[in-house]
Amino acid sequence: MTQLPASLGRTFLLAAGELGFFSAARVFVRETAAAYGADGVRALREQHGREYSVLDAVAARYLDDGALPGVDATRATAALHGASRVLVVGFEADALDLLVPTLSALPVGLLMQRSLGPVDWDRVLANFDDRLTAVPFDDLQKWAGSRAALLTFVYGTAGSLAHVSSEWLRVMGPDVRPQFRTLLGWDLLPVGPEVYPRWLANAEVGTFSALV
Amino acid sequence: MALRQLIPPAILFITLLAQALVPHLRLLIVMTGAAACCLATSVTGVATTEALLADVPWGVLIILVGLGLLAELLAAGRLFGPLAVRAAVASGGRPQRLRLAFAAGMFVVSGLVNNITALVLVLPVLLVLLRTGDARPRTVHWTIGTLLVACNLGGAATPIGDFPAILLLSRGSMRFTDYLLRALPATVVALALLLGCVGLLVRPERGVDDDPLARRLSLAVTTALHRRVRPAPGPVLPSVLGLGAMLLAWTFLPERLHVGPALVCWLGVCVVLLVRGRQGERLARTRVDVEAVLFLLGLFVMVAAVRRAGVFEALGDWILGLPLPPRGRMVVFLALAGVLTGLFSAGPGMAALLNVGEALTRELPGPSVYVGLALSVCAGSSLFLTAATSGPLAQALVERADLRDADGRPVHFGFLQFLPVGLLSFALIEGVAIAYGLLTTR
Repeated sequence: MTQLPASLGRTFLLAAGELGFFSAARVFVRETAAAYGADGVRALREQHGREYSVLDAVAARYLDDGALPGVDATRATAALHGASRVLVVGFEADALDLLVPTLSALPVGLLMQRSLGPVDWDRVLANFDDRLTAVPFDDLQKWAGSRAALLTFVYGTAGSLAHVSSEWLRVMGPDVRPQFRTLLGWDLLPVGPEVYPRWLANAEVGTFSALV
Repeated sequence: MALRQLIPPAILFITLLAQALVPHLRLLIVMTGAAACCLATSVTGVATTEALLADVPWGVLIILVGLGLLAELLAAGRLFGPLAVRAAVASGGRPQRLRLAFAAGMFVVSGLVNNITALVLVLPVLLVLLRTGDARPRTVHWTIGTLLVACNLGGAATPIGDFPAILLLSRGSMRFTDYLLRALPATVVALALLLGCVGLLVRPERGVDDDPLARRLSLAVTTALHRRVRPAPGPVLPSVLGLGAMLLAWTFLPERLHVGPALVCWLGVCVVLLVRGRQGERLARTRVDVEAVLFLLGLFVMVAAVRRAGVFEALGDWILGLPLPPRGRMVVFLALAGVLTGLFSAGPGMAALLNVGEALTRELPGPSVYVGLALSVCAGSSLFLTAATSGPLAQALVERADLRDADGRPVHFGFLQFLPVGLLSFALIEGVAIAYGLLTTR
């Protein structure tokens, strides 16, 4: 089996902290495939898939289709139509890189809350050329409103449960739900993970006003 | 020497020792020492507090504050992050090339902005590369250590890069171009020697197999983290144009106009900040490095007290009286300057030693003594991690980055880890300083 760098798992977690699990997984599968081909991607799944379910799912998709899973912001943009502002909970670089430019008229906030370790927020925000506003957790209520939207990323569903980042569970409570008109889940892995989604949390699909 | 003449240097020595031993209280210690010097000189009739304050080279403080604010604006313009990523990509992620690229980049950046800002702008990108790639202790120690020394050398390369050169410029000891044309080649030689020794003799990566996937991932993650970070023209353009205009003024303004370096900086920075409107006002109100200003103010007051007590004159006479030829006396002075700076850090070292160095210019060309002194101070700053303010900052940034080796063990970067880099750098830079002094006084 292809020998992968010993530090790969830790490096993946670091990348996932600032890029998001899905975006980091795309980078790692792409680079592993470029260095060692499909054998390398199989080794990546074998050695790190059980630890990182999103990495496993992206690698599986690559091995099945010969291509990385894509990202399309069309449906998310449509679901946010009519919103006066959008607060993003969790982070996915590839998805937000596409979505934020389509919301040019709206204020878009990013909740400064990550459970995966220290994040350089200045660097994260610098990639959006001041279009994203950093929102401390205590300022959550300031973004609420009759036309406000909350957006998070979903990494597949299993029955009535959606796999989400743990930040969503911190935000989503009975007191917060009525304060936002739209609670949007953007599913980046509709097929869902094949292994236990460690590092993720489960939320009832019904808590979302829309899942795209 | 009378007792009243000995009190100010005794206070200065105790203060410098105390601030070196208890760095977390260094500002309070230095300010207290300065007040004690004022009290001692007032009571003994050596000089009044007003006289000591009149001796403070305020131009140095104006230049430090002005260039610091300009550096803040450049940082807000995100100019250096993308350049650091490009350097990383150009290096292909290979540790030796990475060290070369970042050391050269740091040398250039710290020649233009102060060392702390240069470090804050460039080090995060390197830390990402180390976190995601080759974080073996030996590589980390030599890569970050070399970067710190390159930062010191860059600061000594130009008259606006760091405090010692700014002091020479603002006191009128040397003109802008005179210093630049002499110090830049000497510091480039020192950097080349250091990088050559590290790459060919130390070889931190020896015995380690290259892992192409680790390199690919490290570069890919670093690029992805900075994927859309672009320089913001709003803050960058006025800063670059303003700095360019100041460089021209420092170089070409005739002396008969009496527009000194500090006034050029004062005016230039105010215009640049005014162009930025609210952002400029906010920076001026909140980003002045008060700690550095107060620290240097305290030092200058103590140095003024020592000067008024006639101690520097006596020291200068002692050096001039050494039973050596003039160039031999200069070698002794430069070697002493390097060691004392290593113990007491660059600010105190330069502030005190420049007064002694002036005595040597009675028998040797001024530029040889001054540039040699600036290089020796740079050597001393590079001896220990604690000798320059950028050292503890680098230590803190590395600890915060939580670097780990392949087995997951934490990789530390502190006083002992830097020591081999410091000893080698000190020997090389001090050697260049002495060689420069000897060669230019033949």
